[in-house]
Amino acid sequence: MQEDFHYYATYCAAYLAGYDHAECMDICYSAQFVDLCSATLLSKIKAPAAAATTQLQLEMMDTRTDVIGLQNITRIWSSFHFLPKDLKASHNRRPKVYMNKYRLICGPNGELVKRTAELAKGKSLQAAGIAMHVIADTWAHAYFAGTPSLVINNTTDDFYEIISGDEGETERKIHFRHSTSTPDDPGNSIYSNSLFQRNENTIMNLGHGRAGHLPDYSFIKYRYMPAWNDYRIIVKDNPSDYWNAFCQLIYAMKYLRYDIGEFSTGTYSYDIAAPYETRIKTILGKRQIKASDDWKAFGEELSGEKIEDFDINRYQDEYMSTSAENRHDTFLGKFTDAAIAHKSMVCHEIYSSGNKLTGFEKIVHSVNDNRNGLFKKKHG
Amino acid sequence: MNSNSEVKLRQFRDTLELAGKGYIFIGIWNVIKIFMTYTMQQSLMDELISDLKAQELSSKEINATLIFAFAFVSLFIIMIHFYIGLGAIKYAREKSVKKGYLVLSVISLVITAGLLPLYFLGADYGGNGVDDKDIASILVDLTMIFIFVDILYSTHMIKKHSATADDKEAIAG
Repeated sequence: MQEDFHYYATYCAAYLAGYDHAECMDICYSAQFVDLCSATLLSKIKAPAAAATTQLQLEMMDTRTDVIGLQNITRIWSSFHFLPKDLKASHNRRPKVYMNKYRLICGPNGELVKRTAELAKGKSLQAAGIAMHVIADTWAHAYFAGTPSLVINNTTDDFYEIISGDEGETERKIHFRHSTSTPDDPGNSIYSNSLFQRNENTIMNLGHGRAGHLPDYSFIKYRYMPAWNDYRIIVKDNPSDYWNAFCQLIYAMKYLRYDIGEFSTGTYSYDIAAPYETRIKTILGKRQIKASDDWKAFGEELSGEKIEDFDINRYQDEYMSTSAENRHDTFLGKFTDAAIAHKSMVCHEIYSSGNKLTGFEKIVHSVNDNRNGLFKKKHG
Repeated sequence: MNSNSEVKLRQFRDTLELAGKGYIFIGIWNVIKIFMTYTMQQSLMDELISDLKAQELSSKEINATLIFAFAFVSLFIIMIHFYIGLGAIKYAREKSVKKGYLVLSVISLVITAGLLPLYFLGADYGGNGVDDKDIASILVDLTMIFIFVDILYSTHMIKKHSATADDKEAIAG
């Protein structure tokens, strides 16, 4: 998903869940910050590199794809953007090497979604924001894995957009071009995607690159054939998925607020969102690359407050000007603590399932481990 | 969209296209082998040249004869491989319904399989028994046999599942 959903839509969901404006801002800022908290940024503010929740394109160009490098990539992307749905999935006649990657395929309502929500309960608003980002991405990035893998993440070139009209649904072929500098053209179904790369572990085969940005556009419904699905076609209905994601975020945040006793997957707060369903579905269905303006207007109507635009630098000075002992109480300090804890939980679950693609995460690190200096980076 | 017939159709079309491409690559490899034989296998060339000299041909005529012979053989091999390979690919992509490539596939399969025992009977010239070169050739020939069988089987299965898919469409219609 993009800023329109991670920042503005999450704000709206948080408000509908019962948070006030200031709390909504903290949550949505944290949710969006997950897409920007790279090792480069952490190095700049002298924060622990273990808290990285994403990798920049330039970082990925330089990253190694040996065993250690692949583990580092998988730890970040599987934890925050492609949360595995079923770590115990089975498939006939596939070796362990294949199954390790197959079991990292992302999808909504897996056991790890429940664990994510439970981990964030009773913690900071930043932890809530991270959890909301992760849960939202399970809907958008479903059917792709957060590890470089040709045999999982590759697709054929046959993508078809399914367009609803007065006479029912029609299909239009999607044309891909490999030009990141040219914006996507939804009007003519021309989009960018990553080039086919034969190497199994190349970074180009990470995540949903072969589908371009299609998973991140809320308006599009399309069908395609992924490499892992044994020649079966998948229909990805983003408007429906994003609606479910929004309602699940409300539900999850009500759980975090102790309004709900136990978190259950496959449960959504449709009743709370119902009065705004038409408005929200109109935003989701509108054919536009970014729906930030529409979500922002909706959020400001809901709360009656102004939603500040996202500023990556907002909390950096606070963090850098605070002494090392007190940084955990700053906004970014709480964010890094929560990120480390979440990553540790997910990687531990993956390791416990017998899968070593994220390395040997034998211990689950809590929020306090960073406070106690476990990940302290020594700077000159 | 994901009925058993449709899934199988996609699978066998993909397999057939891959087999077609594989056979074309083997054809290109065979031509490269011929070129390598012409340029690097001195003992063979000496034998051929001495045979031609016995017919009292000049050096230029000998060279021209050899070049023409190798070019003709290479062209013939490439044509066969491309005919079968492209035929398979076009059928897999539903751009053609012609199955002429099947006839040549069967003929090539019979010839390739039939000649395989000759490696072990010492019928190749200039050698006794099976050496490393022969083992490599055997492996390539076995691969070609596998590709032929794959082409035949995939074509048959495409026809079978197309019929099933058409029947279901007719019933649904």
